[in-house]
Formats: sequence, structure tokens, C-alpha cells
Amino acid sequence: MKKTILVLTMQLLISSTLIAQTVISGKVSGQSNEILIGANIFIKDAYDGASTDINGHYSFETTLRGEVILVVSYIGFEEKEQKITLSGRDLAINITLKESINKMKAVVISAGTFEGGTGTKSEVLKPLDIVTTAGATADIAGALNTLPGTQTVGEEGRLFVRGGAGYETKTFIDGLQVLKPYATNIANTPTRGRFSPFMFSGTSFSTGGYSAEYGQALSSALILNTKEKPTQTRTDLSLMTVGTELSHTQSWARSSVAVQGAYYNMKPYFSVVKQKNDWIYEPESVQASMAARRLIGNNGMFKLYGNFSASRFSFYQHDILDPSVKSKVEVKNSYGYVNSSIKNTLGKSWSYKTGLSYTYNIDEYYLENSTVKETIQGAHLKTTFNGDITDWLSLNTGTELLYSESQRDYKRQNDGFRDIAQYQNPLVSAFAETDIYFSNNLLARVGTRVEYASINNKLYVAPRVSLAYKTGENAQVALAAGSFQQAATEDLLRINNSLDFEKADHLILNYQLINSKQTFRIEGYIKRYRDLVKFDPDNKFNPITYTNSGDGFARGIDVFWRDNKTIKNGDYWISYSYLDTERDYRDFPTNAVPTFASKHNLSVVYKQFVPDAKTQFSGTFSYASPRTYNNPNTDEYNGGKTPAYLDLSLSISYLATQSVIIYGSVTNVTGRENIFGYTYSNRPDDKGNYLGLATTQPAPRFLFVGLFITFSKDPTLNQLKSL
Amino acid sequence: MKKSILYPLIISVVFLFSFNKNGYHTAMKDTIDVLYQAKIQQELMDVANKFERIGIAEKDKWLPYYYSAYCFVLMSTIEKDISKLDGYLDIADGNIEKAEKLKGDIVEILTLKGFSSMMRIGVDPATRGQEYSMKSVAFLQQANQLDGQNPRVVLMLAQMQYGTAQFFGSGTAEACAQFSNAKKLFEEEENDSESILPSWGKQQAQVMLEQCNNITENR
Repeated sequence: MKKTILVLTMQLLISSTLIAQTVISGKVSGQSNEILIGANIFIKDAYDGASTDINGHYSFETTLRGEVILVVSYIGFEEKEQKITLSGRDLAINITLKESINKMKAVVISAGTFEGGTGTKSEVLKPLDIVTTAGATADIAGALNTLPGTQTVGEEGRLFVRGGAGYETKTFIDGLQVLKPYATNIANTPTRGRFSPFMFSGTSFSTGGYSAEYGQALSSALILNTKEKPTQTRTDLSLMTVGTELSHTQSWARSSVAVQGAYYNMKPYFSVVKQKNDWIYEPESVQASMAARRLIGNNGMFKLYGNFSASRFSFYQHDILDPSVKSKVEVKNSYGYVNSSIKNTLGKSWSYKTGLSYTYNIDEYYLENSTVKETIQGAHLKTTFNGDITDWLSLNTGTELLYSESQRDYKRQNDGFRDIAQYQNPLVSAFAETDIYFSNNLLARVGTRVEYASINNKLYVAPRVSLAYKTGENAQVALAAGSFQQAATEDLLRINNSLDFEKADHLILNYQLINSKQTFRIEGYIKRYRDLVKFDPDNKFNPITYTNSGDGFARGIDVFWRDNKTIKNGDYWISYSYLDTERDYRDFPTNAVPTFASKHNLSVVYKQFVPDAKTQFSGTFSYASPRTYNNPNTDEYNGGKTPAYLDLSLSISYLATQSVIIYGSVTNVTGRENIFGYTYSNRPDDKGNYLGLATTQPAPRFLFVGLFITFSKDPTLNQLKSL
Repeated sequence: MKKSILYPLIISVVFLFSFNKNGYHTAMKDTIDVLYQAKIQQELMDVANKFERIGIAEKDKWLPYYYSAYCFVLMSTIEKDISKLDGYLDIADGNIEKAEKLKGDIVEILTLKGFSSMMRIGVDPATRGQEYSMKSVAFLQQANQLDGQNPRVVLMLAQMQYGTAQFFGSGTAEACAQFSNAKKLFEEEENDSESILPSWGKQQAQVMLEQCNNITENR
């Protein structure tokens, strides 16, 4: 009997364990006492748990007994585990969660940088924007010129940033340097970038204060990231008034190859639209490129990219004093750029990237009585490691080898005189930079770049620091300061091999307000130039007259406003830049405002998509205040002032069918004669005056029409992205 | 006597074990039923949390993560604040990956990947349209090649086709034909009311078909 009773008691005990329930309840909140709705609170390895309600409260029952682990998780917060003992008595447990560092949500380094296509919050200009901006004619630099911090220099087509000359902006593709990123052009006609915007998924345009990862740039870094592996096989054909392009992409499961060929000839266009230049042989070029991608493991990628081109043109140059005297100029260019890189992960939180780029550029000038051949070659080898040491501290570090050499070979026909000027410039550098998250609202980036140049046997140390503080959900202030340096340009180094690097110090203060459809940015900066190269213009070929004794400054305010919310299917942005700059460099006799600088620059870009017409209309208005020029008839250096620059450009893209797009654009619709400066005769006329010739556009307007066709098995594909 | 001690013990132990085993099925079934009734974010979040709890407890089951991912994709379909979509879809994609690692049904997983990529388009159709529509179609085509009779694959493909046709202003007839094909396949799908395998989509196919019919009537 006793035993039966015992059994019964045991059974009762077992069942009671099954039935006896503990109620656990409480509240889950964030550190600043905010209510967390939908937090998941549960007993580890059991189903028992609940979600918090709209008041942050939770309550659930469990039949478990003894010591268990209570887990609380919520998106954007650190998961919390807590040991509790279940004894059948109800428990009240309030839990506070700590916000986790979320790099997508957290404050970002924003001073000086315009991100594009990176998918991050700081994204300002998307890849599509580059190609649909009127007046930019699908040129990356053209589109970036509508952003603040740039100066319109209509006869150049390069990027001039914050009082910096064209050479002060460097281009990087997948982190590796590109030499000569612009096509060879004749003096006073705008050039174009060699790289098609279609190639890139992301653009980061920094107008100052950039990361220690990027060196050899005084003013600005244009960082372009090539696309990842395409998923579809397709063929694209473009027929344009300036030439034709054909490309094919073949995609397999783990790799892809794309090839592209293009032929451009300006003759048909120039014969219809009259140009001021006296062409003998209008610009003609062939170009070929290829891109291969291969996935490595789960996260790795191998990329190979090559771009090759050859071009030529010739024209008559007329004497300024006597235009009937003309001399023939013929220019040939060949160019190649290869970029290859591997990136992969190392463990859970580290990744590495290693890459090599190689550029060659040969310009040959055939003049009436002489020939000049300029060759430049460069290689860049770079390895970087990137990862999180803790969730609030990350490190980006790497080493680089940069090599460049340049040669200028001058031959005179009549007396056989020959002069070769050249240099080799190997450069070793290393950088390290840490991102320190004090919270999701405060981030500091501290880095240093060290460069050793064997050309002048000098070691350069460039410290850089940035701070960003989030002042509201969408607002932040940022500060950046740093030191930047760049080897003297090739024309100078060829004459004097041992020139010191030119240097610039940047200080930038930035405020930005970004929500998903609107962006406001205001940025103030001060830039100081040191050790700029100076030489005596009367002794141009004497290395001794070359010194690093120049200096200068630039300061200003950039304002940017973009809105694609207010107007349905419409998008516009307004950029304004104020610039105050002077420098004493090159052949300047004194401090002066350089000819490429204009005090006020304004761009207004507007785009409107009309779904019913399947058409996008786009317009760009640009204004640049008067620029200086040097008039040798007056005493003041760079004392002349050009008229202001005004331009209104329009473009239209029409989606004819799912795979055919028609695109048309015209620059300077009003036909205004913009004057960029004056070129003066190299000798005075009979009355002792130098005669000036205005530098103007080669034609009042540039018209462009193109037809873009995509062939693919997938009917949803077209070149929409290319427009 | 000894037997009398053992019996209840054995019974209790067996009961406990079977409870645990059926517990998974029952818990899943119950939660799935709630999921198919859920209409607002809060309800979907609760359900997703529950799937997450089951997933953590059952180390080798793919379905809890699959359904949790599905909840987050659904949350993105009803969310009005576009800036939140990526957050939901990041979690969804993370959970789909977990389900894939646990060797879940690849056709269902690919379909859900296609659905998630499709929802990413909505964040910024102008710039993302091409990239994510390509991704979505690639996942769905892959699923289609493995099992062209899966109604959810056919439904999602039709959905992509429909969206594309609308964007380009071309005819939706082809997409609509696929919706009715999907509907047919849903009706043929074995309808075991106790199954916890994915069975969503029938209602969506119905709604789309009605939309198709309205367009034809208006013309």
C-alpha cells in the first residue's frame, strides 16, 4: 500500500511539475528609457517566450523549473542574456537593452565627401544621375561639376576643386590610381573622361579631407568602384552622332566576361555643325575594353579590367597677329589601363584586398618643324586589410608601391637638335586608419599616411582626422582636418628631378540633413598650400630656377540642396560654391587669383520623368562669375576679368520599347558666347601691343543624338541605366 | 510492485518526449495559422519572434527561419515608410540564409529570395529597378528550372512580369495568364491541413487575377 501511495505521490509530483507554471513579466526599454515594441524575450532553447506590446510590456508562462537563461533580443540592440531561477513563483523582470553599433544607421564621416551608388545614407549622386544630367553628356566629371566645391572651367572639362588646379584631383578605380584619366585634347577645348560611367556601381567624390588610404592628391579624390558580377547575358548596341559602340556580356554561375568596342569620328558631326577650329583631320578614335569577374568561395571576388584606345587628329594653328600665317599640328595618342584585384574575407570580421594597376599613355605631336613624344607609365600595387577589432573599433591599413616614369623626346627637323627629359619616381607608402565609434552618434576617424620618395630621398608623414556627430535622426555635423601631398607634376619633374612634394592642409566643417528624399548640406573650408613649385618663365629649361617656394590659400562655403520629394516624378538639385583663393606658383610673379578660379559657381539641375510619355526631360543651368586672365599690356598680373559664364543645357530620353532608348541633348541652348580667357600673341605688334584672342567654345552648342538597343533573353533589360 | 513504479514513469517520460516532438509540429502549425491571419506589423513581428524562438530551440530545423524570413518580407510589403524596407529585408535575407544552410527546400528558398529582391526594388525603383529585378528574376528562374510546377514560383514570376509590364506600359496579358496558371497549381497542390510546409500565395494569386480582370473590363 505504502508503495502505491508513493507511486501516486510521485506521479502527482511529476504531473504537478508539468502543470505548475511560472509567469514572467516586465518591461523592455532602451538606455534612454525609450519603449521597445516587438522585442523578443524568451527562455533559451525553449519555445516559451513573448514579444513586447506597444507599451514595451511582456508576459509569458513557462512550465520549466530550475535555473534557465532568459534571452532578450531586439533589432538594433545588443542581445542580453540573464540567468533566472524558476521556482513556480511569478517573476517580474525589467530589462534595459544597449543600442548596438550599427554602421548602416550610425553617423558617417561626411566632411568633404559626396558618396554615390554605395547604398549608404550619405549617398548624394547615384550612378543613374551621372548619365541623366543634362550638359554632362554622360561624362563623370561633367556630372560631378554640378556639385558644390567644383569650378566651371569650360575650356578644360576636368575637375577643378576648391581653388585647386586640374592636376590636384586624382582618380582611383577600385582603390588603384589611374594616370591620365582624361582623353588628350587640343588646347582650349574641353576633354572627356576615358571611363564610361556605366562601368561603375559607386562613385565617391571627395572635395577634401579624404581618408589616409588615398595619397598623391592635393585637393580631391575621385574614387570609382567597378560593378560586381553581372547576372545576365546581354548585348548592347549604341548608335550615336559621334560614333558607335557595341558590347557583349556573358554571364555564368560564378564568373562573367564583358567586352566592348567603340569607334568615334567627329567628321560627320563637324561637317554639319560648323566649328571654329581649322580641322585638317577631325578627331577619330578606336577604343576597346574588357572586364572579367570571378567569384572566389563565398565572399571573394577576382576582377580584371582593361581599357585601350588610340586616337588622332590634326588642324591648323593660326598666328594671333597675322591669322593668314598658319602651321600644322598633328596629335596622336595611345593609351592603356589595366586593373586587377582580388578581395576576400579573412575569418569572420576581416577582409583583404590586393590589386595592381598599370597605365601607359603616349602623346605624339607632329609640328611644322619638330616632333614631340611624351610618354608616361605608371604602376600601383596595393594591399589593404580591413576589419573590426571590436564592434566599436575598426581598422583599415595597407601598403602601396607607386611607380611612375615620364619622358619627353623633342626633335627638331632642320638642325637635328634632340632633347630628352625624363624621370623615374618610385614611391613606397603605408597607411593606417581607425574608426572609433563612441556611440551610434559619435564617430572619430584617425589615420596617418607615410610616403617615402626615393626621387628626393624624403619621408612624408600626413596625419588625417575626422569627427562626425549625429545631432538628430537625419542630421549630423562633421569636422575634418589633415595634411595632403603630391609629387610635382610631370612637366616640372622632367626638368628638375629632385623637387619636393607640394603640400596642402585642409580644415573642413560640415553640416548635413538627409532623409530618404531630400538632402541639405553646407560646408565651410580653409585650405593652405605650401611648397608649391615656382620657376622663372624666362629660364624655363634651367632646373636651378625650379624651387618649392610657392604657396597659396583657398577658403569658401559650399551649399547643396537636393529634393526629389516635392515634385511628383521630378528631381532637382542646387549647388552653390563661394571661393576666395590666391596663390603664388609656377611662373606667377606674385600672389594672384589663378585663371581657373571663379568666386561664385551655381548649378541648378532639374529632371522630370513623364510616365505616360515614357520620357525623361532634364535641364541644367550653370553660372560662374568672371575669371581672371593675364593681359601682358597691363602691369597687374592676372588683372583681367572675363565676362561671367552662363549655360543652359537640355536633354531628353525616350523609352521607345522595353529594349530601345532614344536620347538627345543640346548644350548652351541660348547660344551665348562664353569667354573663358584670352590668349595673347607671343610678340608685340607694330604699336608695341600684345594682341589678345578670346578663348571660346569651339561651337556655340553641342548636339548629341543616340539610339541605344539591348538584346537579351530577359525582356526587362535595357540600357535605361545608361541614360 | 516494481512494475507499478516503472509504468507511470515510463508513461510520463514517453509523454514528455512525444510532447516535445509533437510540440515542434504543433507549435509550428499554430504559429503558421496565426501568420496567415496576421494583418499588421505588430502581429507579424510577434509571429516572427515566435518562429525565431522555435528556430533557436530546434537547431536543425529550417522552417522556423524560413517563416521568420517570410514574416519580414511581408512586413516590407505593408510598410509605408520606405526607409525601413531595407532593415526588414536585411533580416529576412539573413534568415533565408540560415534556412538554406540547414538544407531547406531549395525551390521554396529561392522563391523567397526572389520575393525579397523584388521588394528591394520599391526602396528606389529608378536606381535599383534594374539590379534587383535582374536578381529577383535570376532566383525565380533558377527555382522554376528545378520545379516549374511549384505554384509560388509561378506566382512570383508572374508578379515580376506584371510589375515590369506596368512599368513599361506594355500589356499585362501574359502575366495574367501566368496568374491563372498559378491559381490552377495552387488548387492542385496537396492540401494537407496538418502540413507545416510553405503553402502561402493562393490568396495573392486570386487578388492579382481579379486585378487582371478589372483591367480587361475597363478596356
